[in-house]
Amino acid sequence: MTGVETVRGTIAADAVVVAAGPQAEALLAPLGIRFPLAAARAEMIVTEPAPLMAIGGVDGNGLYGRQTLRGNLAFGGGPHEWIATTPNGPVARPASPLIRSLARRVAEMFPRAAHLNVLRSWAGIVENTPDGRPILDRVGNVTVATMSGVGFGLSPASGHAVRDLVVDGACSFADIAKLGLARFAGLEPDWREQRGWAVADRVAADRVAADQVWA
Amino acid sequence: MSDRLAGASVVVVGGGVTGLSAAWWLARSGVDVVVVDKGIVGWEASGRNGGGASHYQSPLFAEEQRLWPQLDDLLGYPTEYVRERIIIQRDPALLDHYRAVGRMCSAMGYRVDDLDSRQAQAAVPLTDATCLGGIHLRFGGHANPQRTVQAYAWALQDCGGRVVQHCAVTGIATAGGR
Repeated sequence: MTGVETVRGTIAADAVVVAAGPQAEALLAPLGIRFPLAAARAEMIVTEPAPLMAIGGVDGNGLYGRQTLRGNLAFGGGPHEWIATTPNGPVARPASPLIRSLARRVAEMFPRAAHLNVLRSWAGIVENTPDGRPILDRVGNVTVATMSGVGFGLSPASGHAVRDLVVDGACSFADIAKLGLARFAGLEPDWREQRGWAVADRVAADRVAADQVWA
Repeated sequence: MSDRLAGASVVVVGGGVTGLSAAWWLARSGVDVVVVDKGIVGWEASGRNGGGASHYQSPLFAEEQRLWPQLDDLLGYPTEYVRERIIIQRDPALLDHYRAVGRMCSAMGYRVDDLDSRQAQAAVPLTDATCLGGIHLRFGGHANPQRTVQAYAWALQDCGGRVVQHCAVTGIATAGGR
């Protein structure tokens, strides 16, 4: 590895860190690094403000999220909507069948806030490894990192681990052997299909997601 | 040409929260680092998520818990981090599951208190008697994801790192010079 190629030309480097989310798999394949990922939408909704609770970090009912400082309830939480990844990244889509399921579950968890309107929803794309665990590893001067869709809270620590891998070749503060690439050596080519994560057909995938939501 | 991108000791591909934190850690270690993103830093799931910081199942858990309470000071910008977390349930099986999680965390040395329905309703005023109970994590917490990714991006630049946005990476170079 001597650098990265971009739409604005090549950037030379002594080392590279690939933390490119769903696009990482295609970036690493030409180097002979198998980095198995399935992309999914992570949908969330945000409501009108509610009176502030003393502890705003409340999970439950299949949801994760928080009350913002302004009082809005911002919550997300499964099921994943599996999507295709193109060379330019996953195709963004403006709406999801998951939103009503989220709104219903937020109203169930917070009955005294059930009258609040949903102001908006939004999605990011999260990448998922076959076993759901992060990948933090280094191959030559290429360090690879994915947190398999659970990267925000752990970011102070994952950044430290990546820094250690790049500079020292090993993590100084935790045993991250379980997070290495070696565990994928025997991974089946059809691992996505085996887990029901494949997106063979856009319409079929939408129907599956809707069935999960409305069931 | 004028917009030629300068080389760096380390290029981080991806300005999500993991790449930004990695670049911040590298920059504060004195490494010449540049983050390259096809869009805006923290624009997708990294800046739009639940904001939770309580990952007791991860090998990185202890470091997560060590760093969050000091992160605003380390970064120099607010993340809106607030300590503690409550998990409530309205399904008995799920409540049992999280009670077991609580015992596991307590065994690791992280205090968790059980909440019965009345205690849960007092702690979470927006719920009602359909809530069967919950657990109160006396660790962990949550932060504002968008402010946090911005804080990482500003902090890494304060340490001399660079951020290049709207610049898609198309491949990893395996030959050529700086």
